Amino acid sequence: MTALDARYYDGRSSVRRDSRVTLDRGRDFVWLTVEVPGLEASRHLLQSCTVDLGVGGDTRMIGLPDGGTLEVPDGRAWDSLLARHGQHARLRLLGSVERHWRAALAALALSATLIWAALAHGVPALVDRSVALIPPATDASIAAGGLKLLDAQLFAPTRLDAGRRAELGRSFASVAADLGTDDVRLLFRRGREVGANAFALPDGTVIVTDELVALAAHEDELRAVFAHEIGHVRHRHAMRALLATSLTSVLSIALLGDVSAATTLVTGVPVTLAHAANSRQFEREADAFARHWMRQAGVPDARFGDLLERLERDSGSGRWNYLSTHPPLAERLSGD
Amino acid sequence: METIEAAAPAAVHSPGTPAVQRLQFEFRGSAAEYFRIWIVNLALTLVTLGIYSAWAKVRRLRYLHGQTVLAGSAFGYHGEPLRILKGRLIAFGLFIVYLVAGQLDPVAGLVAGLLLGAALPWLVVKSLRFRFRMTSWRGLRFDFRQDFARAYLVYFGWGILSVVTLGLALPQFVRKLHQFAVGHASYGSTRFECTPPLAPFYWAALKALGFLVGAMLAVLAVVTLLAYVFVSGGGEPGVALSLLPAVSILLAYVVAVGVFQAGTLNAVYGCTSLGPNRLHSDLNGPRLAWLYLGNTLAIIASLGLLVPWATVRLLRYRLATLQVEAMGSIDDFVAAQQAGIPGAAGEEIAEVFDVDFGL
Repeated sequence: MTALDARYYDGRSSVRRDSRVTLDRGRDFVWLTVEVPGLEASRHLLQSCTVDLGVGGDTRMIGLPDGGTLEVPDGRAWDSLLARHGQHARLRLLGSVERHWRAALAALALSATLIWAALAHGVPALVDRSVALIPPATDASIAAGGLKLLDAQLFAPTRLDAGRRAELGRSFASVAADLGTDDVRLLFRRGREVGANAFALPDGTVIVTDELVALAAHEDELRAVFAHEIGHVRHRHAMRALLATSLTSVLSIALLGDVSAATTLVTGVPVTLAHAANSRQFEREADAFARHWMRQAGVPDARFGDLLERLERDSGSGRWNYLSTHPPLAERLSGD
Repeated sequence: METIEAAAPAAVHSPGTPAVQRLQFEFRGSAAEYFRIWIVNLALTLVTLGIYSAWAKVRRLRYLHGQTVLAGSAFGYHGEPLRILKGRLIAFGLFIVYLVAGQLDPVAGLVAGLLLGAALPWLVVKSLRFRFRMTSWRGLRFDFRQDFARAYLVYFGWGILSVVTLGLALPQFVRKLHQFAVGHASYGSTRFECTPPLAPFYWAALKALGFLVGAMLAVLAVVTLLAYVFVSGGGEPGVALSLLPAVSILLAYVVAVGVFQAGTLNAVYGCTSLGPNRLHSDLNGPRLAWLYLGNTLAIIASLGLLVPWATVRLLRYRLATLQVEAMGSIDDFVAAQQAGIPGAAGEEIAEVFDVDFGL
């Protein structure tokens, strides 16, 4: 019977004693015996012992049911002793997997693939399912909250006169009618830092800034923008973006776990990347929607293109975020 | 007379003077080995959609604890995966509620945030208790006396004071925090005592602040110069340039934290005693700051793959600068009276938050 050297701590004091430990098979169970010179030998059921108290390295740490602890310096010998008695096969397998580089690299490849799959396919699929489940009331309350925030932080009241607003309202209504959408409304705001821009909220509210109206050279340019924004509403992009970001953060935290300074940095990255990628996808869909309306209404493609070009020229240092969340201009102009 | 020992301690006696042994903490593991353990367990976590994460955490911590050696004996981590998983699921549920509340109604989100803030001292106490109780050395467990009143006093008293005084009281707040955490801890039946003086905290804060201001001025100069170069060259600044100040400030902050921590931890450890034994710490500010900087850059550049390397690198340095000055025999410690009642309610939930102020 092989006896291994071990250090023994009785769990009642911090004294370290040298000891010998053996495994033997009784009638049905495997027993662990600890012999300490000067003390009575103690026998424990192996299954009551915590065998993986120490992980890796050369030393194995075993927790005894009576509160004592064993440190076995020759870990390999302990592993073979366990193997000989057919014990803790899964644990030994995990240990040997962790020891081999090929396994580590395989684990790395697997992890990377799973993370990519989750972000590229899992999240969008989940978002598609969830969006259908969200009631209009939620859209309305989120939109209301969002508008309050935007008005408080970003926008100022519009300076367009009533006549111009009525005119644009009629334009908007006609585009909406063409597209068979009736639960949309148009609001006007002065954009200030945001400049020339248009937004679509989850409840069908479309906001255009005074600066965008000023930048337009032709009514059809604005109508193309209306179609684009209605496209966002139709496809429920705002809600999808919200869900996607939330899902990605939740997933990152659940999987990459422990909230500590180091991992917070890392979990933020997939969320930001996913958000940017999502935005570009949504913009492409809205552009396609707008183009579809323009063909239907007989508006030349150039109307949208001209406005986009002017927007790009116009965008200064405070507007770079517009560019990164939208596809590159060349792509938008060529279209599908 | 004193001797400096690495592995097995030997006391040198001299008639009339007590024996003093200097025991050095060591880390015996390697980044490579930890990386293998980390990545295999991460893969298993992903495959099981996160359920295995509790087992993964236990396994990782058991490695790190087991490779930390003092006087020839390793530390043990006794966290149990099932209990940790339960705590995680509850915390996860609460997090979802908080997230949803925030999306639906900004007011609800605010209320949820305030509730979380109010619960913070409670969470800190529970989390500290969990970490200490799950750690052992030579078979004896550490422990932490729950003193919620004191925790709330420190957080809402000194914490709010440091906000009100625009940071002037911050070093004192940090001091009170560390004093609370260490002073309520015990090893076996022996309590830790921690009575650091105030001055080192202010010195550390001044050094860190000085560095931070200097770094921000440097960043400002560089960004202005780059912007001028770009604009006069006729090009567009682009996304990269806009990110540069944010990233540089983040890095400067990381370095400032390193400088601050070195000073404060040296003070905390240096005035920590356990029975007749004292701790001694000689962390070097610039060295620790350099470590943090390197770790942050490595983690960002590797998209997180170098987290295990960074963890080991930091732990190894922290342990290499920590010693125990043992005035008595280290065999003299005795277990506490009520043998560790494993994790009562709330500890596993708090464990998720894993509050870490660098102890």
